[in-house]
Amino acid sequence: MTDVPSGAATIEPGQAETEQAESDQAGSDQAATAAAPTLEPEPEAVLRLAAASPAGIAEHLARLMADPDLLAEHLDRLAFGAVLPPKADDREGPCRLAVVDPTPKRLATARGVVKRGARWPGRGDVWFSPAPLLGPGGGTVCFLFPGLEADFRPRVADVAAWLGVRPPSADIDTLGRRARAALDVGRVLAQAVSRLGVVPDMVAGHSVGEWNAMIAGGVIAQDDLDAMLHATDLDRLQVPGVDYAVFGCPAERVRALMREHPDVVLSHENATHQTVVCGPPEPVGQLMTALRQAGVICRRLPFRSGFHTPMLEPFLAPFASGVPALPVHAARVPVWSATTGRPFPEDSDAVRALCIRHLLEPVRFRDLVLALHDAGVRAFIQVGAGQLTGLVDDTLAGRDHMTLAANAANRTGLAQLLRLQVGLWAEGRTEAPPLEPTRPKALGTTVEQLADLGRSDPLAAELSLLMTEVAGAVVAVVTAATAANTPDDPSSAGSPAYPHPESLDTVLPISTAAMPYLLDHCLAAQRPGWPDEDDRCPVVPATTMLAHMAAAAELAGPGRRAVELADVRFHRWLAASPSLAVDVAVRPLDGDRVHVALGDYAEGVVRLASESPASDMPEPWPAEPMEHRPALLAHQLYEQRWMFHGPAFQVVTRTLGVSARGIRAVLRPTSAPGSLLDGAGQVLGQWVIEHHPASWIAFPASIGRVAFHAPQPAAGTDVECAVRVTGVTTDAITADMRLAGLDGVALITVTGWHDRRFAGGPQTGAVHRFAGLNTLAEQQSGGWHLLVEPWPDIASREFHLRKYLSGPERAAYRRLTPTAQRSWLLRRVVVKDAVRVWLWDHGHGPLFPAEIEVLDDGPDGRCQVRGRNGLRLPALDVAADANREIGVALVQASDCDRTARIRVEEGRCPIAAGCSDACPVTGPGGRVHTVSWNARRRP
Amino acid sequence: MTPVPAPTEAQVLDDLRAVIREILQMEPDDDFAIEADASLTDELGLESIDLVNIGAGLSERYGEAVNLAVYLADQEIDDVIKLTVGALAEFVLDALAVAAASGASGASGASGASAASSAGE
Repeated sequence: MTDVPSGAATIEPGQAETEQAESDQAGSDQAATAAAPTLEPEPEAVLRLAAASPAGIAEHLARLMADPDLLAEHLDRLAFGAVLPPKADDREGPCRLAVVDPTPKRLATARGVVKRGARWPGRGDVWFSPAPLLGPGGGTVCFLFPGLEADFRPRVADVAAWLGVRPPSADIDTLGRRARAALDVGRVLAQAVSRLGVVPDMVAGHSVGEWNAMIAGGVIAQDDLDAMLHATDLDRLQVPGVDYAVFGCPAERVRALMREHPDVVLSHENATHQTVVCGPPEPVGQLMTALRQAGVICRRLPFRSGFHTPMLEPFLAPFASGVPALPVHAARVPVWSATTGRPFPEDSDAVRALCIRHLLEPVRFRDLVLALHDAGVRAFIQVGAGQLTGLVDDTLAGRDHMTLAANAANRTGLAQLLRLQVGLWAEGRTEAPPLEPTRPKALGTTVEQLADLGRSDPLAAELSLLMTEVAGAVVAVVTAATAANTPDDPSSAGSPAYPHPESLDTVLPISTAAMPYLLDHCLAAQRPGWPDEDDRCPVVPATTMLAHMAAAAELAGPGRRAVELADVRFHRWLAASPSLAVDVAVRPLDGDRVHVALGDYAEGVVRLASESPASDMPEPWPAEPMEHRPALLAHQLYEQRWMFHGPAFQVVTRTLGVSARGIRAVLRPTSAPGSLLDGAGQVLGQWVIEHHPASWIAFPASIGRVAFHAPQPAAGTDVECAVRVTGVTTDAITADMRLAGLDGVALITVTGWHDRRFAGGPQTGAVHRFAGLNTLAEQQSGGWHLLVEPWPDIASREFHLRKYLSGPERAAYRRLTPTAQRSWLLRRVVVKDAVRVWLWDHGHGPLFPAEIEVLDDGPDGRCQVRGRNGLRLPALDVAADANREIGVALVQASDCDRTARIRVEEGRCPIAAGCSDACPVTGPGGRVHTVSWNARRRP
Repeated sequence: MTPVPAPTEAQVLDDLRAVIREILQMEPDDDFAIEADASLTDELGLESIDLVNIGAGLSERYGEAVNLAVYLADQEIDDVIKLTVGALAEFVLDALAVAAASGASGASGASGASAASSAGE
């Protein structure tokens, strides 16, 4: 229903420890935010204007400056911690202006800036960009994590309170504590920007900050690094007798003098005009004197460690045992190394070797920044306290780029985070709420080793694991079944050299532990870091089930491959959490074909052959007439959450063209089973989105025929996919698909892919994409909320309830009788929506329905609501009622003078007892209901 | 060589404003006042790396006698953080006075247009 609106801030600090900010924090946080314990900051007003050209902005600005009332209407008032909402006129044009707290003086500055027409990057709280750097087709965003800084003045006490975490200690007495402080501040800020929905395309770090980048990119886990650092006394990891000095000049100038001082080495090349050296104090001092006389600004740094020089090597013993044991994962977000100026390697041993090199070799931050810019990065966001923005600006002087800091010394943490969002908006960033974190794919842990071993046939590995466990039972079943089959069955059209396929009964364990890629296929997005996997509803994709069926068939007919599947039906969602085991039954139909059933979830007929028959190879399709460019770029499918898939299933890399009856794209399968065909389904999905934007949600229900013409391409191979839509009704979409290598050789042909469409208006689409910001229920002018049953059948209901109900709530729902389920569900949904809207009106950020627990209390439809997993709700007075078609709810603060009351009755009725107002509403089928409620006296 | 008259405080402040405006990429007539008591870091948003360009700008206008590097060498980092435009102006005037007194006047080039060149090559 609504985006996050603004309002007065009444954010309560979370479960922060009591012994905190006041006592053990020295320095800037304490001094500057003396009233830290509870947050009651004034909302800041932000003016944002978008237009096609600077002239358009100037004109609009002039009108606003002449009319204070008009100006007031145009302002967003944002409490700290609020996500900057998208603006209605964002599409008006590429040119953008933003002013925080638009006083007349700032507006005058803004006017001058706009008149000048050039980019103005946030000085004086004014941002202006005539041609935004970000947005569709624009530059990418890189997070930079600072390391040890001489001038370390973090402002994170308010940010920590907002997040509900313990504020990092600002104690920097020793080197070890300095490093810890830098890492902790970076992490708190990383959490904060993630909560605000700011997501990087790549990450990097400076010196110690590179560890934070590795965590942010998913290469190492925070806990694992903490354990390693815990076991390493950083204070003892220091080369004695060396100093660092920083010079305000290019490295070449310092190098020229270093020839006279061979025991001084270059440790950091930070920027075009900043170089750091390390060495014994006397020669370093001589270098400083010489350069200072020539006007170069020099300064000795307040830490000694020997990091990033070969001098550290003999002292590496504490790391020598820690790093090799550090678990390393594949990066979720590319992590760039400042040692090499390139992305981290993929091989885990190479990653560890680079970590050691990082400690011994110079930090080539300048080269890294240049390489990132060459790779398309245009927004560099410092996630931490430091001066990396200045370094980047110096290195990239004269090139298009923007730098933003998530934290600044001269304002509170949350105030600076607001400016971060404003700055990104000004450069054209399109809104995206927080994406879910995905579990890193571990390389080398025992469970995943299984999948790795069977990389060419991971499904066989999964099934055969179970086969050995139930070997005895299987042998018995197979023996019994073989006796029933006659080898010379006349209908057998296959190669006579192969034995008749056998009956097979086995069990397939389904869990996110055994199939971690399932975490990238979740029906219900939740708040990032949400601890209950159950609530996310990981489900096995239809095409993964298809792959399992093919694998089961191949086990029943050893020596042959599954070359075709037919009459594939997907009956119901196979949820993976809580984990379960599915019975797999294979029954032969004739010499070549078997029927496979995965429990009652899916079934199909598989044809086995030694190789795909040549007669099956299809002709290439003729080009579709009137193909045009897609409205959505491939990466936007995922970024804008049209598709909920995480990285393991983000297979569409480029959409080539869309036409009235077709769409073509390039897919790049991953190692997740079924990812290639799932991608084909996503391409079809994009066709539906572009042609039926009002009702685009669809999931596979059945497939007529899938023919495999060649062995499956390896992960990472580009495959061209062409889709031809053969039928569109209100309930279903059918299509044929052809997948081929880039050389044109056909790989897979699909006939009769049948998607079931899920009914619902734009609200269901909005909730599907951004459940944390949207509602199904609508607020009425009386302040109460109305939900008219939006799901016309059980399948749609099943789909939507997973977004609203947590695991325990789903269990409670299933225990009800079918008639009771409808009204119960409507009531839950409308209460959760009403509570969320109330919280948004009072400054809260994105909220997912599963974060709220509803306890049905006493009579008169009163409800108690409770926040889950750290969400603290204020005391609220909630009333709700529902029948099979309508759900209604009324939420107010518990200190209002009248208790909330709301009723819905079928038909036209008088006002219910105890209520002050009533009005009629129409159900989905046209039936009239009457809603009565008790209007609060105080708003 | 005829000694060039020492600039007044007002002139030095104007020169400093011009240097800072260049670093901040502002036009000379922009509506952005730089007061004498403006802190370089807090109000003007400059960072320590920007001091390099300020130093270069000063050397270019006033010659080698005005060596910001030597001045900053004696400052604690907390003092550098709190530096104001006025404090810089004072430093420039002191440095010029010292140079004039020792007769090694290096004043060259009036304030005015100059490229923001680096302190290096």
